[in-house]
Amino acid sequence: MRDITLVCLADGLVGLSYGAVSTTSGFELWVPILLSIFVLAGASEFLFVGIISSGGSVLSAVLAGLLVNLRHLAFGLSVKEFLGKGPSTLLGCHVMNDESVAFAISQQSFEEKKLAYWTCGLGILLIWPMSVWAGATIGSFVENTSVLGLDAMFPAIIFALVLPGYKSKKKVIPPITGAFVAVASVPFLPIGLPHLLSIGFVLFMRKYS
Amino acid sequence: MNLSIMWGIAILAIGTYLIRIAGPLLGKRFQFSSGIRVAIEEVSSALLFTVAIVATFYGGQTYAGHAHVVGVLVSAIMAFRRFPFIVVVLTAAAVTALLRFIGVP
Repeated sequence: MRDITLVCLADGLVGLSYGAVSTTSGFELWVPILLSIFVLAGASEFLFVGIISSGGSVLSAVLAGLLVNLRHLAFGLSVKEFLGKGPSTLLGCHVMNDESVAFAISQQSFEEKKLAYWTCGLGILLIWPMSVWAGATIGSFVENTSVLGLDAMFPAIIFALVLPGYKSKKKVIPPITGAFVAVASVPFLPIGLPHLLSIGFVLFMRKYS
Repeated sequence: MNLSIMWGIAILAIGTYLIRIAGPLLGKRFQFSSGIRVAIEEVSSALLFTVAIVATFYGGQTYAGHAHVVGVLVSAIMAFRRFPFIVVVLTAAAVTALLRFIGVP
């Protein structure tokens, strides 16, 4: 529970800087705010704003965002038991994100997994749009968020969530190798595809090891 | 431009929601063995991992800079050694900010 609060606070800081970066790179306030409420997936929002602000078309920004969000297909399969029945499932799907899935997977019992998923998911649903709105509002005052190193927090959050779950060095090898294949292919492939490449690689290693 | 951005946000939001709901919908139709379920959890973890490693080296499709890479890698090592969450995350920002302050790109 303490970790979930910290993740929400950390996401709040990321949201603040993301909101600020969006408005300082020329977007109107409603762009990051609508994205944060209705897309609610940080990486694809960064991509959307980043691609358009660096001169890309809206269409390519949408496609990149959707490609990066394809991982939610796998997430949905692994957390479907925690979504409940009826209308709550519809909300449960919307709060499916890297953090809520990671917390659910890291718990032991079914009840703990379900509680962690919903607590983290709803917390982020609340914190993320609020912090993005706050960041976007003060964005005109913050000259450069990179001076504070805030951009380094996004990957660090994921590492802090995923890495302690790997108990032995041997289990880390396939995802690390897959990830480096992905990193190496970034300059040559459209944004989003490297991530899919690494999944294929991990499945391949799994089959032949 | 504003109108096309609004359409872009709408399509991204609807598309993302359809992706999110597709898993549970497919899952109800197909029953998975525990082996496949473990495989899916592993792939989910691996994907998160990949998102993090790509974000370590790249901001979009350009190199994120030495300071950013070093800051994140230091935090990754701390995460593997199970330092507290907030320490890991703040270290990434602090190391990156410090390196940039002393002039590392």
